[in-house]
Amino acid sequence: MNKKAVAWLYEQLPELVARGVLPAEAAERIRGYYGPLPQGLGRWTLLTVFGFVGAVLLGLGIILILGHNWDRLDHVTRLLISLGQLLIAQAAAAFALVRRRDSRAWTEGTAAFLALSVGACIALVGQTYHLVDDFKNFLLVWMLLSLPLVYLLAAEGVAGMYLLGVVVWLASVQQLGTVKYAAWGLMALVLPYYARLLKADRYGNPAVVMSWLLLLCFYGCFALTGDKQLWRISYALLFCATYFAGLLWFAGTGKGWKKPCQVVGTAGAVALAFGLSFKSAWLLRQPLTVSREEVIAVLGLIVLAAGLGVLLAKRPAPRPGLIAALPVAVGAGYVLQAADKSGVYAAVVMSLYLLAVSVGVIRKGVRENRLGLLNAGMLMLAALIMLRFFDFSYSFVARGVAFIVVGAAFLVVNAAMSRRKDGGAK
Amino acid sequence: MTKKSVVVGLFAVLAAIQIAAPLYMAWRWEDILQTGVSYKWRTAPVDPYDALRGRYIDLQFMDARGPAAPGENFKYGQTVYASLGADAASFARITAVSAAKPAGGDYVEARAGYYTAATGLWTVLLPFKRFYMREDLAPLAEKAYQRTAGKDAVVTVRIKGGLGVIEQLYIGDKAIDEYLREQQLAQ
Repeated sequence: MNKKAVAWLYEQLPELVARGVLPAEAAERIRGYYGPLPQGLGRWTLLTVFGFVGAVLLGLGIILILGHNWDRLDHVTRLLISLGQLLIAQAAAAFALVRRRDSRAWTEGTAAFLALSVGACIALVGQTYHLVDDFKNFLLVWMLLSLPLVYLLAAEGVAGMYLLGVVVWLASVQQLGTVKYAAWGLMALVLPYYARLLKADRYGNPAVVMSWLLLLCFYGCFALTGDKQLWRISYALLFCATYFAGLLWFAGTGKGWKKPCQVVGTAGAVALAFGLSFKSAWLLRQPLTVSREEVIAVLGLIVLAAGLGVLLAKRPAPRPGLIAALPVAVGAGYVLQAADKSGVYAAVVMSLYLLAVSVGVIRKGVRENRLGLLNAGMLMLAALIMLRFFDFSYSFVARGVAFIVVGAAFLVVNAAMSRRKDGGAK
Repeated sequence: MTKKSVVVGLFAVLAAIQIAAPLYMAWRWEDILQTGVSYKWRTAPVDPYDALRGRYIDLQFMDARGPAAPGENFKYGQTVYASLGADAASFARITAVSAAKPAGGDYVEARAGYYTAATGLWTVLLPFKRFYMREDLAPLAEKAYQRTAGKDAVVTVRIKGGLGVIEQLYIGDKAIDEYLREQQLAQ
């Protein structure tokens, strides 16, 4: 499909219909035949971003002005003002829907403005009647009244606002027992839209941005729901599964930021491993009391990560690398911690794991001649060395011996490799 | 019907719901304000900030405590119903706190606070504790209250069907905005 030609045709359609050249049904059939335009960089233009940002600023400005509290105005006037600004926002969105449906700047901008206007309108009612305990309900009503805009106007910005709202709502209902689990259902409400974006072009900017937003919301929901007595292994499995999912379904040859699953999985795994390489991260202040639900959740994560791993193993490339070993290393840490409560052995295992990952990354960088990868490996190794050098939870002698042993191992390997290389040259 | 007209139709439905939601909320609270029973509470106002709805005064009620209904015990934060009455000076008083809705009389849906063994009373976290004010007046209101040494800040609340809406905040016998304007004129 020639994207530019279809884009041009779509621009012409409203005028052709207006002038009676083409019946509206025919225009619809043309749209149905070609489908939505692939939304690559061409569509996600500066214009759209500016339109969205401008609309958001406008909406936030209205919220602030209404927040001033115009105490001389009576209740009816206040209500009329808030409904008036809502009606204007609706009219703008309706115009975009009917006349500017193919302009991303229009649909994104007006949808964001309308979503914020809905919030401003409900907030003003709350202000007028001095409502208090309604923040979570206010947020929920606001989000649910904005969500349909994601589908009707294909408004990705509103989808982002919605997902952010879900996480904030979840944070606000922490005290309310099982209500918080509804956040998963709320998050799932944007999945059909996400599926539509993936179907259109999974490496297009809209799908990539939505992947990032969903991942962040997913991790927010994961962090804020359920017991976390076994948080070390839970996060290790989840980062691992995220990374696997990225390799399975988003392995295209795009830039790093176009692979959110790989970035989040890798960065999360490395950060977790660094955190767990400290003795204090393994110390238990009180005995573990793991609920049955948490055990089931962890078992579910094991099945998920293992299932994705099996799927990945059936593919020829790429290989998951040492990230896959993280849950094994953390699991070993738990076993060792059972034997030694101080957490020394578990922390040492994590340091060795990080050492292996750093060396693996450096090796890969050299083999594939990728300077970025080489630098990342060197940086990890440097960070590991610095952290352990200044880690005062080990004695000077222990650290000194460990550094000498590892340093000597590096030199021996280096000597062996250069000898082999020389041998090869001869 | 074309796909476009379905989308436009759905948008019209959504727009109607978006308008109806705040209208319903306003109607519900306005109804309480117009037809609810008025109660006076002694209160202590302080001045926080809400980025979405503006500046408000946080009201801390003096007499928001009462005895549990016979045989009842509560968890902190649990939903409870506070039955209301009035004392000799016609200030609101919580006559009983129960987990079930009272069969008759005025009551307000609230959350359980702490139990104090010395008095045998439960504190009740009332749902109306914010009074939104113009951003420049809210801090002045708190200062005005501090000047009166916390003796005569009173808030009137309309109660109906377990819900309550704040009607007005008084310092002495004057509504807060009137009081503040007089103070500003006097300076």
